[in-house]
Amino acid sequence: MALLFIGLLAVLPVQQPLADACGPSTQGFKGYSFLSPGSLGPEIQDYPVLLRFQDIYQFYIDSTVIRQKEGNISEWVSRTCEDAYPADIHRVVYKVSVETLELLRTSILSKNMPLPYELTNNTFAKYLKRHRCVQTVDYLIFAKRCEPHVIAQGAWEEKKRDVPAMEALIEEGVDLFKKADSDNIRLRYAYQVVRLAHYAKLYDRAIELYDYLLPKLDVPIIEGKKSLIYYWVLGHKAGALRALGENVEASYLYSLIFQQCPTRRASAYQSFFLKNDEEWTQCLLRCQSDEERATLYAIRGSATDSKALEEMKMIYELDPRNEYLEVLLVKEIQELEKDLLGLDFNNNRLYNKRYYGRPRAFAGNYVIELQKFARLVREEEKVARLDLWFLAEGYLELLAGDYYAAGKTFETVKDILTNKALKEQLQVFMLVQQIYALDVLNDSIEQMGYKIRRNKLFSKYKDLPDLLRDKFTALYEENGHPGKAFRSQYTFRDLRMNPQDEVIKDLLQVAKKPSPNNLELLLLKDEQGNTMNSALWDMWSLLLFQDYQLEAALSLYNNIPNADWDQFGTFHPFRVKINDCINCLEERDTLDQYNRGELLETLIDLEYKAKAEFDNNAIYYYRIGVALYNCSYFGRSWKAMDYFRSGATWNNLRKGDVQPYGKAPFGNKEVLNVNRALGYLELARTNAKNPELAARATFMAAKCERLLYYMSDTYQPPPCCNQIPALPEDFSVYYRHLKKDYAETRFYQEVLKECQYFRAYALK
Amino acid sequence: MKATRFFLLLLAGSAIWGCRTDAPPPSSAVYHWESTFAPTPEEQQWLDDQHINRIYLRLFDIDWDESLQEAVPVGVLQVPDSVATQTREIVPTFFLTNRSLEHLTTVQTDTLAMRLLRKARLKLRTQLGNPIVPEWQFDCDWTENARDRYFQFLETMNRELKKEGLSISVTIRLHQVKYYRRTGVPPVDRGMLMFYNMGELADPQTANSILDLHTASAYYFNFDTYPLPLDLALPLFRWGVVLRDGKMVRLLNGLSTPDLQDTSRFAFRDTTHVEVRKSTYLDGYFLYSGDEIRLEWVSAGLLQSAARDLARVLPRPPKWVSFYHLAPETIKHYSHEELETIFRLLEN
Repeated sequence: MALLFIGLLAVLPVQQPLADACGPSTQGFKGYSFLSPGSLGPEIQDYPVLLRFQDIYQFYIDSTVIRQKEGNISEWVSRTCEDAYPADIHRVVYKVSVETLELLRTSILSKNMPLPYELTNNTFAKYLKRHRCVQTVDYLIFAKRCEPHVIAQGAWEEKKRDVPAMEALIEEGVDLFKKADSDNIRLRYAYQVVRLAHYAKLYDRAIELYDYLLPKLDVPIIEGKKSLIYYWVLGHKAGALRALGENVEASYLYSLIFQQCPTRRASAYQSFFLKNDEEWTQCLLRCQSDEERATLYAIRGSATDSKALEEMKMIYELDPRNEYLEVLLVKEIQELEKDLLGLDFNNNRLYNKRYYGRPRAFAGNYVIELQKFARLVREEEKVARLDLWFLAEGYLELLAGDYYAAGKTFETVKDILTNKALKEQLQVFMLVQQIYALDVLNDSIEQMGYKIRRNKLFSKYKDLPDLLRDKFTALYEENGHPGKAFRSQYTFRDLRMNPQDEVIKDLLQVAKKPSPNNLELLLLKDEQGNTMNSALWDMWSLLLFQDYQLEAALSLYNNIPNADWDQFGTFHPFRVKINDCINCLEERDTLDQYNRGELLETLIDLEYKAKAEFDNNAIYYYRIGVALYNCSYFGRSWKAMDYFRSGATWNNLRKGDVQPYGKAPFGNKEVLNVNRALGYLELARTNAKNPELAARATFMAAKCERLLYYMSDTYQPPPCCNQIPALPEDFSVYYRHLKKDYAETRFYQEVLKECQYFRAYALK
Repeated sequence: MKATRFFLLLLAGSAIWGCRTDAPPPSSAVYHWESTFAPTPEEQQWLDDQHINRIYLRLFDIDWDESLQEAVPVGVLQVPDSVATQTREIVPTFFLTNRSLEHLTTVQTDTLAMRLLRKARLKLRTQLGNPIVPEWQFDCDWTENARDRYFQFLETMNRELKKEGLSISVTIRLHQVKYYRRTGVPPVDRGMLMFYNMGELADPQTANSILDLHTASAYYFNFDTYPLPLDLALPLFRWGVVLRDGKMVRLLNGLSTPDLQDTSRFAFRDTTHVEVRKSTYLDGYFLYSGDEIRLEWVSAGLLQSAARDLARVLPRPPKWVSFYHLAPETIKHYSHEELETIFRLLEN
């Protein structure tokens, strides 16, 4: 029992948290768990059905064969006094052919005959030869001959059930049983023949063989326990009984296997079946001890949806020191964690409610009932591990929302804990309790949050960061700090996808504080640890730039030291190219290269000049129009007005400028607006005195017009790839102008040569 | 004037019934979806009484095996040696999970088809005495991700079965008719419209998830243009939905009112809702005090209403009407006359 105690909370050192993190990237239930038997001790690990049954059931069922082999090999290792390596035993028992085993047999019988070639260096074969274990090899040969009848050859193959052959093998096996000297080999023959009879559907014969053969041997004891082969045979007897409709006897035997044989525990649980209350009562009557009766309740309480308190009470009454009691306690607490942790602030609580029905309606009452039970158990002092129950009592108080009582209980428990793993678990619970107690927002609370982050257990228990993050997010939201709330959950990259005014302003407020606290300093750093103060000004300025509030944007930009302006990118927004190419390398030339601040300054200057030089303003309007076009989603300098461009948007232009992207909470915003550019280009066209300039403005305006068509409801994509969409009349105003009014210009010829879209229109 | 009115009425009538041709009346069939095929004498008698000469027999399911990383047969039908050679037509039927299809490559899909054929043929020959097999049927509520593979699988099956002159059908859900342009039409000869399992089983507010004509009526679209001829599967089953604190935890198949008459353990709140008074085992499942059981079944009257609705909606009567499913607890609740009425209504 003591071992289990250590196991159970040694258990809790927990590199494998139970629940998925609360972060936006996880799937499945999104909650927290701090009572984690992830790294179970050897004892507890064999209780698969009791812990996170639904998750690990498949693993255990899938690995039954592997575990069975491992158990068998382990017994052979003991038999050879550890003279043989497990891998060598595995080879002889599971891999080599009957022919090789027969050669091995001959080799054992003949001093001169060496071991078969493939077993020359096999330690198990050497052991068998050295000790002249002919009967063992005879058994292995017999087992190998049984294999085709009992092991499916593949998922798609039908089991070949050759009953006469199986019956003959049974007879032969019984004879060999009688001749065998050792109980180990006799037990193994018993296993082979009972299994053959079971699989041959000779159920009565299987039971008869069991009842005839087993009393004729003393079941070998290995390391203080009955040989696991005994439970394998028992399992086949139970299977035969079940097939004959003897549910009660079968289930009783399965419960013994569940109790005693870890490698068959999962399958025993699966096979345990009682139809009604009468069968349950009969099964209880079959039990020889309170421990066995407690096992029945443990099996019943292990069902995925059980409310195991009822079974726990029964186990406690029957056998208070029973190990299942604690395992069920852990199971129930884990379920309650899903219901109750972060009820007020888990940012996925609506999702959990919708898809997982959490919290369950009864969780509030149930936690109180379980708490009462834990207290009773602790007070009566009948259980094996009192400190575990004491600790559980404190955690249940915490789950019930009584942080004060939980804190007091934890303080008391601290003095009585001696086990290292339990002490660590207590520290984790205390951290959770501290996080829960954060209910106001001020510098010292944030400082405390920072201190919690620095705790060495913080990164070890994956759900602690989630809990702290979600708790602070809620606190920030309640106290009007959208920026801090955002940063608690998301990265600056997420913000750049679609910068939000209020988030940026809030974070800048923090940045402006003369001495931000440590947690705030963390929030102001990006994923690489760079301070984001200037980047926040850049982001805010860009937001205004997207709205074409040039003066305001520049005024914000002036908060960034001039020398740093280039850090946020340089662009060539005034370059005119007939064909657009987003990913083409730009020729770098400092003459027409601008950073964002310089671009703002230049645009303001162009606006001023356009107004001032009334008679000669076409060129200014043209330059502004070109720049706005180039800085849009469709232009080569899109980075001047945006941080991230998704190619997928091109196929969804009609869905608007903000579209969902990955896990970005506000989606991804693109600068799709080309109306403003079109307006300036139209001004340039109408005011231009030079036909070449007018032609250029008209062509750029036509590009805007074509994009507006793609974004319009009337747009129909071409039926197949690479076809040029035909422009309807409403959207070919500028193409018409270009063809009609500027056909004599040089630029017209240039466009005709280079632009397929226009050529398709002009030559139509 | 009277003549004109009469003509208009005639025209309206023909608009409603005009699509329905003088097709032969539907034949009756039944699904067998249990894990062991060993019809009891009562079931044999019932089949005879209902003139059922065709059994859609589930041979196995196909699911994805994570450890083997391949689609494998699961829940293979057990046929005791004592079962006599079948004189009724058998339509081998297979359920395919979406996840098993989603994982497959093109080559693996064809391999799956060939493996399935081989295994099923062997089973038919060695365990069911080579019965008359006119058709094979596949059941899959395909998703968009699985659709291409499923259809490829069906094409391969179709090609192979056609070599023996056999036809191939699939189960069709209501939404797959209404939205068939989006969900696609399987490349097979016929569809079997599954006219059941319509409601949210897990929702405590659901009255009857098996058959709800109001829910069904939202799907009465596109039957006139649906490209496959449709047969019809109607529910005869019943179950108890166990709700624990508002969450569905179990289905108890075949459960009906007489099973819950012990008032020390169960309390009826109304005809379909039962509260568990005392923790107890029921049909091998342990119920806790406070659990709720919602009894669901389809009365003969409701089935007849469904038949009336379907007679209006389907452009022609189904060739086959198959009842789901053959089991001792399902067959005893409907008289021969009640089921006969359904056929008459569908003929109209």
